[in-house]
Formats: sequence, structure tokens, C-alpha cells
Amino acid sequence: METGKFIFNVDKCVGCGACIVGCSIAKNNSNSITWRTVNKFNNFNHPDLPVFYYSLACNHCDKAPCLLGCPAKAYSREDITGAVIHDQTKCIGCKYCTWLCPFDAPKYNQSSCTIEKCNFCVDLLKTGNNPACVAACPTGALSYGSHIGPVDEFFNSSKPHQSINPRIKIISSTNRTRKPKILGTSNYSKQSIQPDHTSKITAIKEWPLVVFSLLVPLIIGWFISSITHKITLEYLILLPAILLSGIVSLLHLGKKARLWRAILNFRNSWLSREILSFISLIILFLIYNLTVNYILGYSIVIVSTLFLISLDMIYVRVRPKNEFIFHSSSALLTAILWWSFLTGLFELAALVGSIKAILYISRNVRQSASYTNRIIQSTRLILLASAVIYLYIFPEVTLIPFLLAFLGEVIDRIQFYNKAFVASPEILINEKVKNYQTKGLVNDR
Amino acid sequence: LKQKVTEPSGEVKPETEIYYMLAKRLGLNDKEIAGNIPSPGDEHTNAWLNNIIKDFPDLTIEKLKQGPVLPNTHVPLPFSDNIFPTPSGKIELVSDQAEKLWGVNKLPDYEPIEKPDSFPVLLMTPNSKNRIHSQFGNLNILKQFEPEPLLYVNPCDAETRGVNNNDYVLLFNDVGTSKVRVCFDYGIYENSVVLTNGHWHSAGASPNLFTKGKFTDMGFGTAFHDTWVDYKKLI
Repeated sequence: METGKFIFNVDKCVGCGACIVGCSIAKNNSNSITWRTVNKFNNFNHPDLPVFYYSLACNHCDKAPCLLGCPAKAYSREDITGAVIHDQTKCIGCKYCTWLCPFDAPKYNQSSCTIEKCNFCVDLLKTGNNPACVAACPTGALSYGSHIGPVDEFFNSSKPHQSINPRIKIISSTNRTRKPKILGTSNYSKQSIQPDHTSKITAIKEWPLVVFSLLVPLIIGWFISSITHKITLEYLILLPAILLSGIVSLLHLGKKARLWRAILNFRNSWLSREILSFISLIILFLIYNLTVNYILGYSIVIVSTLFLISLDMIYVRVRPKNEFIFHSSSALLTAILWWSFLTGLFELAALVGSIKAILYISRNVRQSASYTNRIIQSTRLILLASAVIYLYIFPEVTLIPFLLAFLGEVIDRIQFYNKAFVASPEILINEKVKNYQTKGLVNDR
Repeated sequence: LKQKVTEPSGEVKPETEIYYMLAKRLGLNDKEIAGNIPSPGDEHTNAWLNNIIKDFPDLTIEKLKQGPVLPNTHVPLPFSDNIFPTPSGKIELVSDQAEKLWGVNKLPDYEPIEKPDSFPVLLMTPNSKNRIHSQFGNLNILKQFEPEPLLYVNPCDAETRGVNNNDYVLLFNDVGTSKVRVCFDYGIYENSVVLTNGHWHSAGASPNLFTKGKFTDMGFGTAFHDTWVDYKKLI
């Protein structure tokens, strides 16, 4: 297999965008989608900071998270060049790969409702030519081949470069720029150095997933409480509810008709496992509706647990910064909480509630927040605590504490999505700006 | 001389032919046109070029078609013979000619620019790397780099007007107005803004909307660096 890499020399790039033009012409792409992006450091040309660029397409990583995470097996590795290839005809448009890729290589096309991305110009590579972007670069900043020698410390020691072994080497000399003497810079505000970062995941953008991840643990909690404690089940509510959750979660798919592909990659992808276990769960619920028996009951408990773990694992790579893998709005914890509420197990509810509260406090206490946010955070904790206390005082009334706790969970889950941390070149660049700001701008060079 | 690589599509014409037809339409007489623009067709163009290269015996049109040829009069360093096209043959710091032609001081000095009260912001209109003035402004592949006209503004300047990066502002003076998106740039002087030239009017913000029909003080150039505007946040 060929092992050539992109080699990007930060010092030589002038940000002209010829690589993008070369790519778009070679691939006949519309100008709304470009497979290559030139990221700019110091976007507003702040006089105290150097200006440089960071041109990125797909880096065809050895441990490509897109390839492993794609539920529909739309990604594959090409044998000769080792390129990571995305097949649009297999893509279900779930955008999970855009969450996983730290280089923002997969691009979602609004008109085809699928992902598309750089294919390393495999046909050109196979005939011994350079990729189109490399061929178009007028300064030699972007090249292809093997690189021996020093690399840029910041980029190559960053987390994405360390963990997934991308086929790109970033070169730069440390004395990149000499600071020119500029008068009157003291009144430049340090805040507006880069444009505001827009997160790829927000609760509003992903509302179908917010609804899904709130409703399903609740339904599971209710179902299991009926299996273990013979709590009355309202099938007329529960079955439509779980079907509806499934349909709502479908809304975020670009290609809904290809849903069946989503279970193909259950060996590697937590998303695939989640979908597979969710479908099994619906089937088991339907059968349980017809014939109540214990074996079926226990298999529902097992499949539910698998489903909840998969649901939590999907978000491991995008969980908020400083967050443990096990977090306060974890679907597994929430389902256990509902189960304990519905079955009146006060001790368990208190235990799970405390775990949730501790995890929630530990996440938020480390981050500064506005006054309003602190009030919302306190509300979430008060709702949870009052629900547990209510359960202790009136063990026979379940609806009121349940409603209180549910409101709390809604707040937590929405916050979880809004604080989701998706690695991207933009964030990497912002980090570097912060480095410059904290280390001191002048003495650095 | 670059040779034709493809047959022109539709009504596409060379620039010279467009100028020729415009001149005709504007009613200039044939004699005036003949001295300034070649008539359409290869025959006339060749005659025109032959007239230009007649002072260079080494050059023929055939040779030029094969590739670039340096004329034997080529001087690698301009004015290295220290002869200048002035009345005295020297570099003239004090120039009677300037006084006579443009009515300026013999020894020009710095004169502070007059800043109009009503429009305190100077509009600069440099070239963009993405177009040649307005040419190629219609190509999608280049439009992606600046999908809409951007007004480059110093962030400190914008702050005083309550304008943020990416906000739409109304750019205006006594000649014209347009709606443009703001892009922060510390490289821009305070009290000035930059709108690259050549934006198509259809894109919404051609700098020609703000310039005035006046000459520069020397050389009868267009005084497009003397354009004063103001901008405010669009709510």
C-alpha cells in the first residue's frame, strides 16, 4: 500500500485558495461544497500575531474515525493508495462522520442530502501523479510524498494528530514571523481576534435527537418497571410513543429510505449498534404485548441495557470538555432513575439522583458561567432533589416527582447538546491563538 | 502572441473588436478610430502589430507566435543610462512642467486632505486577488472565495458604531447607498473602510456607487481614492 502523505508547509502558504480551485475543477464540484478548506490563523490580521494558513482536505487517517463510526458502511479503504473513500450511494446522511472527523473533511451536501469528501485523487495517485490540489499549489506549500525532518510541534502534537495518525505532516519554522514595530496597538481589544466559533452540534439543530434521547430512556424505564414490579403498562401510549421516537429520530437523516443500511457496521460503530438494538427493542416490545413471559422480559432488560450503553457511547467523542464518559445526562443513568421512580425504590432513586447531581456539579463548577446559566443550573439540581424528596415523603404518589425530575432531565440534556465539543481545525486554531495570548504575544518570537 | 485555443462561443468577441464597435456606435469618425483601434479581422490586426514592431528588425509576427522574444532595445534596469524624459534630462524635484500642466507647487509638499464633515470615512477600493477588476466576477469557482461583497473594517472603528463581524451595514454617501456584510480586519486604518473594486452591480455593492466624477490633481486620473462615505448598522 502506498504510504505517501500530504505535506503542508505553513510558512509557504499564502492563502490564495488555488488548492481549492484545483480540487473543485478536477472533481467538477459546485461552488457550494468544497472538499478542501483553507483555514486562517489570525483571521482579522491582528498586528500582534502572525498570519498563517492551514489547508485541509481529508487526511486519509490510519485509524479513520469516519470509517469506523459510519453506521452504513459508506466508507471504505482503497487497497493500492490506502485512501479513505466515501460512497455517496451508500450514505444515509446521518452526519455522524462530521462529528467524528477532527479535520472537518466530510462535508454535508444540502442538495444531495448526503456526505461527500476528498478521495485523495486515487486515479491520479495510481498513475504516479500528484493530487489535483497539490498540482495547483503555486508556492509549493502543499505537496505529496514522504517527509523526513522536523515538523510543526503545535499541530503534530495536537490530539487529532496523535490519536488517529492522519496522513499529513505540518512543517513550519519556529521563527516564522518577526514582529513589526506597530504603534498604538494597546487599544486593540484582545477578544475579537478570531470570528465566533459556531458549534456543529446544538440542541436546536439536533432537536430530533434531543427528543429521542429523552423519550426512549423514559419508555424503557416504564417498560422494565412493568416487567420487574408489574406496574400497569399503557400499551396504547407506550407503543405509539416508542414508534414516534423512532420516527422523530429519523428526521435528521438525509436519506431516510436507506435506513436499512444503518445496521451494517454493528461490528465497529456504536451508532449502528444503537439502531440495531433499538429496532430489536421495538420488536420485543410488540411481542411482549402479545405474550407476557419471563424469558422475553429478561431479554428486554438485556437489549435495553445494550441500547442505552450504545446511545451513551455514540456521544463519547463529542462529550463536553472536561466531561467524564459517564455523565449526568447519561441515558443509562436516566433510565435507571425512571425505573426507580416508577417502582417507588426510594433508596435507588436517591443513589442515582446523587450520582447525577455530583456529575452535574463537577461538570459545571469547573466552567465559568453567566448569572442566568447559574440559575438554570441550580434549577436543574433543585428539580432533581425535590423529586427525590417528594418520593421519600409521599411514596405512593409517583406522577408529581416524576414530572419534576423529567423537567430537570430536559434541562440537562439540552445543555449536554449545547456544550458538545466537536474537534475541528477552527478549535485547534483558536487554541493556538489562546496560546499566544497567554504566553505573551511579543516575547514568543 | 497567444494563439486561439478554442472557437469563440456565441457572440464572444475580442476586446479590441468590442472597443471598435463601441467607437462606431458612439459616432467617432473612421480616421480617429483607425489611429487608436485596429479594425476587426486577422488582416487588420496583423497590419496593426507589424506597425508596432517595425522599429525592431529582429521581431516578426511568426517569431512572436512561437513564443516570447526579448527586443534588442530591452534595458534590464530602467533609466540605468541616467537620462530622464524631462526638460532638463534629470530627475526634477522642482518642476516647472508640473506647475504649468497641473497648477500645483513647483516643489510639491504634503497637503492635509480635506475631510468632509458629513462623511468621515475614507473608502479605499483596492484590487482583489480573486478577479481582474470586474473580469471573472461571474465565475462560480472564484465567487466561492467572496460570495458577496465584503466591507473590511477596523474592529475598533466598528465597535464605536455597534457593528460586529458578519453584520450587515448600510454603506452610504451623498451619491449612493448599498447593503454590505462587514468583515473585521485590523490591517485597515481607523476611519477608513475597504471594498475591493470590480464587484458586479448585481452582487449589490459596486464601489462605483460611491465615487464621483472628478480628476486627480495631477495626471487626469480618476480620483477614486478621494471617496468619503459613512456606514451604520442595519437593524
